[in-house]
Amino acid sequence: MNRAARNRRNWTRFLGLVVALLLPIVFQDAYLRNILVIFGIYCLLALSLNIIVGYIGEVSLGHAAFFGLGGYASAILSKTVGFPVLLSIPSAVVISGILGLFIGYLALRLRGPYFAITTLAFAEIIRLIVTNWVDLTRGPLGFTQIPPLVLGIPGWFEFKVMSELRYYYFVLVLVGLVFLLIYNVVHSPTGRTFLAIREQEPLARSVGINPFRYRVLAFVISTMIAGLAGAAYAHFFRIISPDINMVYYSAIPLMMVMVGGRGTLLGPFLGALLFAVLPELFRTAGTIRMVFFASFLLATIVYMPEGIAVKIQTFIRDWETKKSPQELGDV
Amino acid sequence: MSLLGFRGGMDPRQNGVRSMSLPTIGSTSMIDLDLLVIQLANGLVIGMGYTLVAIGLTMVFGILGVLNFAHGEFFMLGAFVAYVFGELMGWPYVVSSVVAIVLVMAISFLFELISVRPFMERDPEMTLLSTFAASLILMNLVEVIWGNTPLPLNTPFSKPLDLLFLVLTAQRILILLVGAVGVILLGLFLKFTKMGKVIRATAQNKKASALVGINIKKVYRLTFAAGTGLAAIAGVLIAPLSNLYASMGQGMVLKGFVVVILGGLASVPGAILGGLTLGITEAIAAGYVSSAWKDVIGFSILIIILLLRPQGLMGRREA
Amino acid sequence: MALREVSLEVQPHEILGIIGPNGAGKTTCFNILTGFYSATSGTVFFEGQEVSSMPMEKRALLGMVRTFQHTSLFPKLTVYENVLTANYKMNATNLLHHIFRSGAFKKTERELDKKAMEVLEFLGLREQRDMMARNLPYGSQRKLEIANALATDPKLLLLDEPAAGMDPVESQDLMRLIKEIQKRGITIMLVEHNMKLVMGICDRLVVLNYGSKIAEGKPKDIAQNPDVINVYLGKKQDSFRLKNRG
Repeated sequence: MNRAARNRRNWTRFLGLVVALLLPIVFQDAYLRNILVIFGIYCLLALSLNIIVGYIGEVSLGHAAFFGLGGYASAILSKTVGFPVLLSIPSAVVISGILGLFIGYLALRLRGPYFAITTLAFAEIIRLIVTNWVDLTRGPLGFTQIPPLVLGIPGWFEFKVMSELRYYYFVLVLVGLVFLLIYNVVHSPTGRTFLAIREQEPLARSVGINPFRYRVLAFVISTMIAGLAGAAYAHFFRIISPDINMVYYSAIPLMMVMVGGRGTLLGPFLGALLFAVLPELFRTAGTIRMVFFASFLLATIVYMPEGIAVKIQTFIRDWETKKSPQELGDV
Repeated sequence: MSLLGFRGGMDPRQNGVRSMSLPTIGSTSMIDLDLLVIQLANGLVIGMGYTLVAIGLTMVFGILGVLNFAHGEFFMLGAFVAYVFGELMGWPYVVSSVVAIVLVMAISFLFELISVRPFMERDPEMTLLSTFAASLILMNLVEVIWGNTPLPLNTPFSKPLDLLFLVLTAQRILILLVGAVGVILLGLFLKFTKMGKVIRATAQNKKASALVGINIKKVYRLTFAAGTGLAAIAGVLIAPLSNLYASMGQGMVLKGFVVVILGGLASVPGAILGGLTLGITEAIAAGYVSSAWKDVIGFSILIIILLLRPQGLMGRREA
Repeated sequence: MALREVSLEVQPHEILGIIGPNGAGKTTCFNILTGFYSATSGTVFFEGQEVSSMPMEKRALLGMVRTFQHTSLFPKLTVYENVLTANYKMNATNLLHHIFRSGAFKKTERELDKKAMEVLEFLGLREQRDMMARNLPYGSQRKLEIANALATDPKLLLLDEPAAGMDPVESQDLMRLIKEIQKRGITIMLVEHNMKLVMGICDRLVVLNYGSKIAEGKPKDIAQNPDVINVYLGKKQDSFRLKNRG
């Protein structure tokens, strides 16, 4: 990758970071800041599903299970069991990962539609468990009064992260960390191995790569991030219900990833922007917005299946190759 | 009579037992034969519904190679269109049902045009997403139009009939009859008519069929219409048993997947056997364990089968 | 049944050629040896160890690496990236090191780079290191496929029709290359149709026909073996006879 492209890419990222940091100053309204927090959480969701759809190359229709599980796990651990939130959130991440290991180990033996159906079936089972194990989860009534996130040591000093502003920065930190994690993995030998598996599986196997093991690994990472997103959601809204496990929360990340551009680092952010901001702007429209989104998804699949981010990258690449013949890198 | 003083929940349409609303009967220490028979009967009824849905799903998969994630929505649309004609316009149940089925088949034609055909040549794997997206569109469109309160669909066949040792409403018997007749007709059609043979040939070997001059695209369209038609039939038959709601297709299609995989992909006899088996298993589970967990059974079976026999579904096994 | 009672042995440091008409089962033979297909019966041994039930990736880690006829490279990566990615053995370091960019990670990256450049140099692909694999000329692509296999430091290299589609100049270069690989101590097995190449570099040959082994031995003996001649030239003889009948 040539120097000009790398510089431009780094500047874009830096600029993006600055903008992200300054956004709450631009949007002073609590309602808009609320949207910003949701945007952040959706970024996490999109980044996590992107690993499955973009890097493994399979469509999971059951991602809501991990989102919901993370939320409920952290909520139950912090309220019923009494963990401090700073502990319940990582615990929820680990629990999601364990479930992800179990489900991934079983489901990833299958491909394509069979994998999709299996993830859907698992998600349904989890939804049913959450809905019906009323003693643990309060069932359809929802789990309320979830403790807020409190930073610091109890008894010494406490910093409540409850307002939209504070929570936004908290989520931003999470997004930054997750992004860094994914970036480091992608640009490493492990990332190369994932690429090999996705692009030419027989070749990958012929040099000693065990595709199944790597897929499971990627799946577990993905579910852990989804669990993190769920926990973040739970401690912001402080109420969750079994709806969190419904197809909606599997469909939206899928849309974000497909429309935004799977397999890229930029794609999930674009998708999250589109699908986090738009629903809120059209909140009054109600159910009909889902019709639009699903239609939008369908249109994207037909006309631009690779997603917006990839389209942009290809566009830039073509434009640049007119100037210089060297190869360019990822945005 | 049973130990609880009433035979399960008497639904407004006065059935034998409505296993769906049955509380746990785990306290009985003897197997109540009456209960068992009723559970079996109900299981058979709902199983017939699963069968009809699954046959369509498996045919479309066998011939087009597409797993239609929106299949459940045609089940749902059948019921809703029948509702429009039956409840809103006051037409008789049978008439509205027939009209509904025809209309849904017409809608499926449009659906196939938009969501399936663009991908058949290019990238068939995309149909997973395109049919999924389409299912969301249809489901939410219906919710936008009719809201999310459950709606009724009334039928003239609500009278309970006394059949020796159990009581079933005529509607349930109708489901069994129509289902059985439909399946037999389908079998005869596939086996003995020219078009049936054409369809079977295409299922076995697409390239060879095309070479012999069979119009593959026409076969696709016909199969798709037939499959969704069956789903719509299931919809108009089953809807009167409970209520209509926009997401009723979702649960149904998932059960359909379970059956299709249970019975073997692209196998119509498998779908029949699998559908009835699933229905009965669920009913027994609902009666003896708890109705809340009966769905878990179906999905668990699905997962177990997919994992034990993935090579049966994937073709040649690699080392 | 693609193969029937085929038994063969490769000696260390030799170049063994597998030849035979189309459909004889040569690639199937490779597939079974490397574990890409599982055999219905029989066993495979590698360096004294039975590997018959090992999946392909495990055998590759033991040192048995093959090329595929068309897809032994990553089309959308550059030549350099191809070889880097193929070097899985060295890539397989700890994920945690990758996430936290530790010293061990940096060291591995340097070693990977060194190995990649060395392999590219050996195959004469250094100038094209930044070209996308799918934009390479055909001959270079075939060389890249071999480069990817060499990047793994194999003990046994199985080449599947490496000369397919090459012109005489390229085949000559390939012959030299394969000999050089042998000099590095790597044992080579080769499926090929190009007789000049096969006769020129193979130490021994195995001839397959209709899934069975019909001959085995040194190239010059094979060239005179009547069964082999029959299989390859039989058709020509028939047409000769027909012509003469008038």
